[in-house]
Amino acid sequence: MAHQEAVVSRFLNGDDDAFDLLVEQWDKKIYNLAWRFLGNREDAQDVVQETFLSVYKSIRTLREPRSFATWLYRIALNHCRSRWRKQGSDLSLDEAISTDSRDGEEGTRLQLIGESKRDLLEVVDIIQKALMGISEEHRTAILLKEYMGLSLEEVAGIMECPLSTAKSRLYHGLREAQRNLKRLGVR
Amino acid sequence: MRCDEIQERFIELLYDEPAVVSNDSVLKEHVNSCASCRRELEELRNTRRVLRLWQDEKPLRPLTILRTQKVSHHALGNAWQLVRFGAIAALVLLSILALANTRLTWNERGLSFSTRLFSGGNSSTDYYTKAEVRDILKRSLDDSEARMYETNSLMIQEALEIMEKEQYSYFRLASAKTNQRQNVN
Repeated sequence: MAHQEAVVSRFLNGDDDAFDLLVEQWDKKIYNLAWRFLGNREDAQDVVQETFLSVYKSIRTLREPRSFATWLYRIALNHCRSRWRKQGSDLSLDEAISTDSRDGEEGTRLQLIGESKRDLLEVVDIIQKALMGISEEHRTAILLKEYMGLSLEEVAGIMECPLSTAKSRLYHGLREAQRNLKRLGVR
Repeated sequence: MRCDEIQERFIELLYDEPAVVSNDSVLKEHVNSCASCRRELEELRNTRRVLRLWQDEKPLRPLTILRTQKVSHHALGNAWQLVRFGAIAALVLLSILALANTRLTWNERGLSFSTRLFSGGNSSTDYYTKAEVRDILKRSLDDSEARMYETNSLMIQEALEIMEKEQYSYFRLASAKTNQRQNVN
C-alpha cells in the first residue's frame, strides 16, 4: 500500500513513468470490475482505456495519494454506469433466461459447478446473467465487496454512502442474485 | 424481533469484518432458533460461494492506444502552451514597439523600420531655433523683395524702350512729312 502511495506521489509530481506503473498495478482490477459490471469484455476494455485516460488528465484533482484507490474505483464505475445506460442495459433477466433455457432441466447446473473447465465457463455465464439482472447500486456493492475484496467501509466510501446503506445494498444485492440464480437453475 | 428485521442484519453474520461483525446475542439466538432464517442465511452463504466461481481474467490487450492518446494529450498541452507564450510575446513586442515610437514604412524600396527607443530623445538638430527661424524668414523676405525690385526694374526698362521706339517712329514720320511739303513748294 505504501508502495502504491509512493507511485501515486511520483505521478502527482510529474513523473510519467509512474503512470505506467499505476496502469500495471490497476488495469487488471479495473478490467474485471468493468467486465462484471457490463458483462462484455470489449466494453470492459474500453472502460479501462477511458478510466486511465481520465486518471491521466485529472490526476491534479487528487489531493491525497492514499485516496487514489477510492478515486480510481469511482472513475471506473462512472464510466461503467454511463456505458451501461448508453447501451440501455439491453439484456433483461427474462431474456437471459429464455436464451439460456435450452437445457431445460432445472437443478442440473448445480452439479456442473466445479466439475470441469467447460462447465465452469457455463456457470460463469449464468452468474453474469444473474448479476446483470440486479440494479446498478446493488450490483456495484456486490462487485466491490465480493470481487474486489474491499471492506464494507471502503465500499461505502467508494459509493459515497453511509456504512449502513452499503450493508443494506449488499444484502439486497445478494438476495437478488440468489433469486436470479434460482431462476437460472442454480440451487 | 421479526424475521425480516433479523435478515436485514445478515451481513453482520456473513462477513468477518470488525466494522460489521455482530456481537449481538439476540441476532445469533434468533438464527439458531429460527429454521427459516437459518435456511435463508445458508442460502446467502451458498450464493456467495457461487458468485466467487467467476474468477478474474487478464485484460484483452495492453493499453497501447492510451500511450498515443497520452502523447497527443501532451502535444495538445504543449501546443496550447506555445500559443499562450506566443500571444504573450506578441503583446510584449507590440507594447515595446508602441513605446519606442516605431515607424514602419512600405514603399517601392521595400519595408523599412525605424525606432527611437535608444536615441535618447529627440535631437536638437531636428528642430530650428527661434533665431534660425527669424533668419530664414528674413532671408526669404529679402529674397522676395530683391526679386520684386528686379522684376519692377525690368518692366520699367521694357516700358522705356517701347516709349523710345514709339518716339523715334513719330519723329521719322514728322520729318518725312516736312520733306514732302518742301518738295511740293
